[in-house]
Amino acid sequence: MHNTGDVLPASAAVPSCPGPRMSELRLGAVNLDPKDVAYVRALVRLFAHTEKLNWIYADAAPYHAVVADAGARAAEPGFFAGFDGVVLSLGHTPGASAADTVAFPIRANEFRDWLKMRQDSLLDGAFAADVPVPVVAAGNDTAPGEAAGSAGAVAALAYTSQLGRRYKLRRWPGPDLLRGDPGAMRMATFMSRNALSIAQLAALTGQPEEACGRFVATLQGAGLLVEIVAVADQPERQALPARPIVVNAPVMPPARQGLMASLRRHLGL
Amino acid sequence: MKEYKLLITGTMGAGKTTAIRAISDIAPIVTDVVNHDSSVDKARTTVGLDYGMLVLDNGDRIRLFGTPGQARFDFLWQILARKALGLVILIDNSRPDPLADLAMFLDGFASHLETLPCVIGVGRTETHTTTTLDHYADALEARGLVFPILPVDVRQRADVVSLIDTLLGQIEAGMDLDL
Amino acid sequence: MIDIDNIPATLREAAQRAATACLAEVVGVTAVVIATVDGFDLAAAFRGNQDATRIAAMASSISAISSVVALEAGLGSFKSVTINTDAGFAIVQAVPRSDIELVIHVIADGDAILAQSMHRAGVMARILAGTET
Repeated sequence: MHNTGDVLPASAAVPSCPGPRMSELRLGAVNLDPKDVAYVRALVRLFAHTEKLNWIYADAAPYHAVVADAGARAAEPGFFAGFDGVVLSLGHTPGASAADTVAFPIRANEFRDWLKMRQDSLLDGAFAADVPVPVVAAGNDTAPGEAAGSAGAVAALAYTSQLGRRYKLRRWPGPDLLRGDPGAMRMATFMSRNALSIAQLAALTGQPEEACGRFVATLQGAGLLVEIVAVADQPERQALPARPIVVNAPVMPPARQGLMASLRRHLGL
Repeated sequence: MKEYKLLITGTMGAGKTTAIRAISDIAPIVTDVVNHDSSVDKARTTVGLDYGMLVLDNGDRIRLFGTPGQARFDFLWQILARKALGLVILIDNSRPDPLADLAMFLDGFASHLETLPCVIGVGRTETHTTTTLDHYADALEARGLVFPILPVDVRQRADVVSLIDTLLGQIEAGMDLDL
Repeated sequence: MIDIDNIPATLREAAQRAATACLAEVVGVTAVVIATVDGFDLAAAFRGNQDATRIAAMASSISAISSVVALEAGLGSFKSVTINTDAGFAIVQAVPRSDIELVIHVIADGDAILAQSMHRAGVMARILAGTET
């Protein structure tokens, strides 16, 4: 299904986006699971902020590009018949160009690199035209969408956690990502020393799982995380400092909780 | 009663003594002497150690040790780092090459930093902007290290407390977690 | 304030003469380093390979910590401290001067006599304290 609120007749030509006179680039999705749509939406939004990219996620045509899975062309032939924008294929898709293919599940850094590459080509005039981009109907990327996208990104990460994925920081986040938020600092601190799932992060930091999921999505979008698959699912580990990969939700020994709490009280925290 | 140790190191003039003074429950013991190094505009310098203490409500004590900042005193770094709970590295961003300063301490404490929780506090980031916090993160990432990097003014007690709070978070995160 | 780069030549020369003479004349002494209180070596005399820079830094640390001990104990100013070991001893001796404080570090092996070495360290300190610049 074409991922918008309406289902288009198979014969309808889906307008691709005319060349951008303004700098906004519209990305849609075809035949993706809702959780993947949510993830793509979240990544587009993140990179728009962190990488200053021109892409927005669009729920409805016109599009400059769409993200499609391997079965999209068979499932939505009408869409592709009339679409001459860019198609980013997820995973191996017969006939798809290597430049417009990223691995599936989507890796944030690969997706970011593709967005940058395609932005450069589009804004350099690959689709040159002096026609304004149609005004987008309200509601595509507004607050409810944001909430849904965040929830979707969290759901996507929770899903990947079920696959045994753990996340560890490879680099301390900048002030723009931490924003002076003590909760974010706490999460980042734990992730700087341990590979943790979202559930584990929530258990350790006392932050709600949704907040942890949003934060992990933010860090992932910024390319700051190393994803670790649990040993049971994948024999090869990525290189890490000598720390055990925590499998079950960890609990801090009470005595040490006491020392930290006592010291914080003493400092007036 | 149990005793623990927190160590504060960093370049000369970065504020190690000031930081300890800001939070210590006792008047800090300092071993500073006249500075004869004209390359640093400072009248006195620590050549032994600074010592402060926090006495917790259950009687446990946290000993605060400040090291000399110059590389020629690195033998003291090794001695003072033994059995420390955590390490704060204070860097003065106004110095000619603060990243080289950071490298000196990362090298000097390298064997300890494989497991020792650590926080980097960078002073004078507002007035000296050539080296940014991202640069420090770059430097750590190049060594495969991930430590919190905080802008601080150690003359402000709140900043020192924030630094220690972050270090406590590192200590908590680095403890062996029960399954 | 005198900095390390412009310590008067007369003081440096006096320090070197004192260190060399001590090494030559006192049985068992294996190294003499004379340094500023913040750990810069001024003069040194060794038997064998030793690191004057390192010894100077250590001497200044020991001197500084010892000064604090003396102060905390209400015992006045630090004068000297002796480190007894299995194979010898080390003496750190303060040299009080108004322009630049110095410390003398004497390292001796098992052949040395402690009292003799301590006496010599004190003599060197008096000489250097009175050296005019």
